[in-house]
Amino acid sequence: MEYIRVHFDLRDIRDVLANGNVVGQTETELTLPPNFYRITLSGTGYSPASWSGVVSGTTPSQPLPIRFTKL
Amino acid sequence: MHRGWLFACCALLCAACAATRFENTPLQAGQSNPEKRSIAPPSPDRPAILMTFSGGGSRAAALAQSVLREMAGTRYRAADGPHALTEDVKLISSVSGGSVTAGWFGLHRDPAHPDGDLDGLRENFLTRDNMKELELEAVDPITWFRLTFGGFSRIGALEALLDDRLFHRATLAELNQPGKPFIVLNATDMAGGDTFALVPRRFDDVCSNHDVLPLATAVSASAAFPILLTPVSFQNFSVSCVGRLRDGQWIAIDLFNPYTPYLNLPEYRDARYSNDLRHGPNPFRDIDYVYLLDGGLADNLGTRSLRSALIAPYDDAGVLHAINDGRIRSLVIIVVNARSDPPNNVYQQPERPGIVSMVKTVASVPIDANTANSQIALSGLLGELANATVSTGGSAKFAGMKIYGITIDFDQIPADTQAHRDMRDAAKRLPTSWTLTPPQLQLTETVGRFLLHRDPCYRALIADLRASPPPAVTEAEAPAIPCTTKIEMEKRAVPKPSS
Repeated sequence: MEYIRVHFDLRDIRDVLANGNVVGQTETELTLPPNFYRITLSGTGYSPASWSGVVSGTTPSQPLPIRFTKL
Repeated sequence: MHRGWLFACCALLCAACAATRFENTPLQAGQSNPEKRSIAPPSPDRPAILMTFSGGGSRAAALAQSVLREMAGTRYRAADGPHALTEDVKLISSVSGGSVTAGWFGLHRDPAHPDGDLDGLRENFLTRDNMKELELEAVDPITWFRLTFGGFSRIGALEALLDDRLFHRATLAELNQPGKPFIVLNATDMAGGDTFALVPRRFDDVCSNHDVLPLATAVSASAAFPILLTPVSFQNFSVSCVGRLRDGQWIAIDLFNPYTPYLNLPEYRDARYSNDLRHGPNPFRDIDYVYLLDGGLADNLGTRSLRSALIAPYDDAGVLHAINDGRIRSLVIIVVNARSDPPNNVYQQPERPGIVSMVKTVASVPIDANTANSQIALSGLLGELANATVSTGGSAKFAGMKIYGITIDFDQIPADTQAHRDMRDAAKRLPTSWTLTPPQLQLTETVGRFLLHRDPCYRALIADLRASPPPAVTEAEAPAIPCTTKIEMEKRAVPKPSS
């Protein structure tokens, strides 16, 4: 299993979607099987529109950070 | 034995004249296959129990029933009141004979019947001579007429038996209801060898209506042992589909990036199969019809669908989402494997085995080997999930989640006493048939309860819940072995820092 943490806004917690499916929420570690993912958030008003990349080789202590900013 | 051959001969004689009847119906304009069940426990101190039931005819159905019966008799108190463990069964992935019990349990478990009315299953199926009825059906000239002219197939006899005895024209809609467990009945796509789980997501792929399929047909598809029974036939309606389907974004992403085949081959294959069924771009196979045989041909434990439910982000069960959200605090996986080891004389005969022995080997050894591999893969996955409960960052909501991996397998019967050896030898002789004699049924039920009581992780679960199980089957001491998945998790867990 792999680990990511999606950062957005601590006061605006959003659903995190991996390849179009909800897998958890922002601002917390999430576990996923290794793969290539297109990560998006629920709702609108964030940038970039999506993050795409490989999630592999992570550890529980070093989740892959993915950052979105509020528009 | 004689009756079995008679059945086989009658069935084979009609093989050439069996007409094809497609069992599924297309989605109409605007129709969809919504998933109405949910995986997360209603209270965080209650476990989420996910089970698999293997194939093996009535032996498998009875073993699964005995495990459920033992769980139904195990009571504990949670924050929202007293419960039986069967109320916490959230998903069953089943194959062949195990699908009979899974289908029944899914249909009948409700607040009025937290045990799924297991007495009804016992009375209407497990104690009955089902083979006699199937054989009578096979030698009945009216059946031959229907096989020839009426669009009836040899699988129809099993469907009729299951419908008359157990399901009474119930459809999959009655399983797909809020509060019901996910029942994943697994069949095998005979052309490609893929597992075809009879779940709403897969019905989307063939643009077919999930909820209207008769439950007896779905269970028969999971149990259509090749040659003796004809496949259950589906038409693929995905060309010019007018139904509303699930988003297929994950399929396109998995298929058109260069990494997935190397990082996650099982998911790549699943995406490719969905794409082929949907008549998507660059198909691997052109699939216009799907013929479904016994799910045990692809995976006799049902672990492929369990794996998908556990970790695939696109799976409707959404276990991964519930884990990441911290809604599952205790995850229990129970694998019920009814594989027997019927006697043969190959070890005793000095002559080279003949064609009959080899045919028997071809029919059973690959399935058993596949089953062993499935079990190893599942154990590895549970180990990975145990690791996933570790969070050095401290903010992971799944940190500290407990995992209990429980296996029920005849091979676990110990040989330490004469009574245990007698139990083991009798269990391995249990036939693969739709009929069990009363002593065979009693033995199967005794073994199921005995093995569940002895399992280290089941004992740990009982202790952690402070549950009260029914009295043990025998007075024999259970081995003092720790629950390894739980130990792994506790050993590595790091406490959350104070904030």
